[in-house]
Amino acid sequence: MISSASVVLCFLAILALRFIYLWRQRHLTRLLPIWRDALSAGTVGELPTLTVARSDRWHFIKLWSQLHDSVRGEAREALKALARSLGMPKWALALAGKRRLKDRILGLGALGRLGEFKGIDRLEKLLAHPDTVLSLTAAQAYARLVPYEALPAILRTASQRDDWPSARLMDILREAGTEAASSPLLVAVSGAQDKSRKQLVPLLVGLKSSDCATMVRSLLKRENDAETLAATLPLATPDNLEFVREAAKHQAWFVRSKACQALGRIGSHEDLPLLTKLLGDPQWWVRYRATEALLNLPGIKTEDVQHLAETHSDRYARDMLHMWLDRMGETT
Amino acid sequence: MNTAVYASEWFFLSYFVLMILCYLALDLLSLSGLRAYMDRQSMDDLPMFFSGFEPPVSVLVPAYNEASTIATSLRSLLQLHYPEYEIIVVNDGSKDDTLEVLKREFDLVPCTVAWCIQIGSKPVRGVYMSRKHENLRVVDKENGGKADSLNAGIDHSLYPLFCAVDADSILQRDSLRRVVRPFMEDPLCVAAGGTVRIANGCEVRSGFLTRVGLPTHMLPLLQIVEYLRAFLFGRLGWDPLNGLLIISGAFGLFKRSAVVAAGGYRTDTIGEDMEIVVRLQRKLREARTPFRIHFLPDPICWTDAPEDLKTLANQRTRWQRGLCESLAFNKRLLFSQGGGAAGWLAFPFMLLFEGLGPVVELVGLTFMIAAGITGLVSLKVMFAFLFVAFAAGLFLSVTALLLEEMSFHLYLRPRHLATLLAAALIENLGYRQLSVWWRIKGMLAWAFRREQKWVVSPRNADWQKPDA
Repeated sequence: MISSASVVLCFLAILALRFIYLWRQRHLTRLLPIWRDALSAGTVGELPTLTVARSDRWHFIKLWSQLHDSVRGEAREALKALARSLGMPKWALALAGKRRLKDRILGLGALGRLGEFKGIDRLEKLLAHPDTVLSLTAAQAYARLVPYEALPAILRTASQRDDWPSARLMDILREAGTEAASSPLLVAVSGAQDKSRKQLVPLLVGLKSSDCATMVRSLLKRENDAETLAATLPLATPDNLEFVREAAKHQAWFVRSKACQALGRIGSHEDLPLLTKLLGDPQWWVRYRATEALLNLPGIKTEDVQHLAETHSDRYARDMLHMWLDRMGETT
Repeated sequence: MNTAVYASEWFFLSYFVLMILCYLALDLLSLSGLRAYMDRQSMDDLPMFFSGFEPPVSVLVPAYNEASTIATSLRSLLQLHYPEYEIIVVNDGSKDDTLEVLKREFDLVPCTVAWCIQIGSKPVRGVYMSRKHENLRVVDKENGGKADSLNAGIDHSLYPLFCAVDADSILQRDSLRRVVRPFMEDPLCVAAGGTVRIANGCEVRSGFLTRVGLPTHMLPLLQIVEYLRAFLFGRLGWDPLNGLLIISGAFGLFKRSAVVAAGGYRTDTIGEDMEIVVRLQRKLREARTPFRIHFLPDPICWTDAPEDLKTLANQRTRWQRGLCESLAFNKRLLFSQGGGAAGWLAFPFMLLFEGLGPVVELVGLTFMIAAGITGLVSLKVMFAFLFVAFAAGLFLSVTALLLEEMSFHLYLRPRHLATLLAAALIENLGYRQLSVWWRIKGMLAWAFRREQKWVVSPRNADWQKPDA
């Protein structure tokens, strides 16, 4: 009896869900072109009159967010003005206060995009929320609203939680701009523990900040944690060549591998003996990167590499050189 | 005699009730997990840009006698929307002209390889690179089976993550981006798998699925309901408990170093896709290494389902055998110290309901029918039992449809929904019982160690044909 009732209930639930879904789709199909036209007009500064029913607000805000993220400059500002004229900040605020995750994510995201939200402290609290997506959405909104205040708090939180993917943090930092992000990032890196430092250092690489030279030098000179050192090596400049050469002799293979890559970028002809030695490294990846670096060294000709490929005493080094020569031959 | 009958009655009844309760629990876990997942993905269609932090991926494509389909499959793989990936096709000593097709279509030339053998495989006859696509390489090796091909692929891969893909699967353009996400969000992630859906009846253009439809044949239609059940709550339910024991061989992403450390794919099993996941669970738990294995409910891989009974029977027999082998090889995980949800819940569940389930189901049904006919139990009891078994099966299928209706809505037309509801009903009248029989054959094949082969199923997939 219970089983039959459950089956019937499920059947009815499916039919009800489908009915609601189809009704909503039909409703949105009718509304979306109207909204799109209005929003498009909004991007060129017009303020069309538009009434959005309470039950449609979620979909309207989502469409607005999509358009907001795909335009830049004046069009974006015009979209914000249109949203304000419609009273969207209130709708977004209401969504941000709801229980359901998807409402909160959309609401918080929209508040950040709109650039107006009086409850900044609420956003700061949300940085510590256990849900990764919600906390990151709050971080993004916070950084959009007050980047100079937000970034130190965001980076402080980032160094305490390992569920924030670097990719999302990078998006937040890039959007805030190198000028706003550089300084708090350097502070965060210098104050971070080993575990979080190795997660923050790659952000310096992604941010391409010119202010980090001193920090990089210091990390390359004194860093004990192999993973952080490996993460710092892509930032090395010719001024740090001595440390990079030292790193190429590090006991951790991934540091040697990164050092080879750095030598390929900033090394000189003087590094030929070091790289030739690394061609015979026990680790495949070090041999691979050493060959790659060797081919990028200034003044190195293909004939030199061919000669090395014939004469190197290590069989694995010869194999690797041949492999790279083959690749070069085919891709050039 | 009566006591024995009475005890048997209670045994079968208890087994069915326990099974239904377990599936129901999984169902509830999936329900909450799916809702949260859908909420978190609700902003996914906003404009997205790659951040440069996406880990590069090696896509491994084992191929055995795939001459007619391999070029189309590879063309679609070459169009995946992902910043950095390489494709490694492993030709496993094909007897047809798979290698010739590859050479011709992708302008392959032999290349020297600096070996990085970490797992090992049957001898490699040659490695080729494409002059048209610099991220495509082909490893030509002696025949050793799918697992051996995957091991060769891992040995030839350059990147920290590898994605095992069936040569006849259709991936969505954003599949890699989606499946990589758990690795970016969770540093403990060692493997992630996605939902596999049935492509029969769908419209495919240039190797990509352009319209979702339902097949006209009954068998693939019934398999759609089966797949929904297996993926939407069979696997999604285990995800929050970190108890996932299977990632489909058709599409799964793995951390290369974790698989290498576990010893690579076993070549002496027919269910290498499940075995590697069970072994990762066992070894990482034994070593007390924190890890996570994730499941993504997004439909990211479409596959061709068998349309004839013989091929389907063969497939299900192999799957069941693979399941038995995977559990047997890793029996130490069962109730092991530190075994967690995998050792204490998922493994016993798999053993009791997926492994031994077909036997109990067949014996139970036969016993009740025989007892009813011979008068050992009343006809009323017999019919009540059969009805409960039928209703329970139907309930599980219908809840899978309910989960689909709550989330992806892939089958949009009302006709599709009606057809699937009808299929859920019909599935329990004959098809399920047939499937039980094939699974028992699979168990017997495992028990008697019958010879195993990498079987290439006849292809129905018209989209894969070059002129399609």
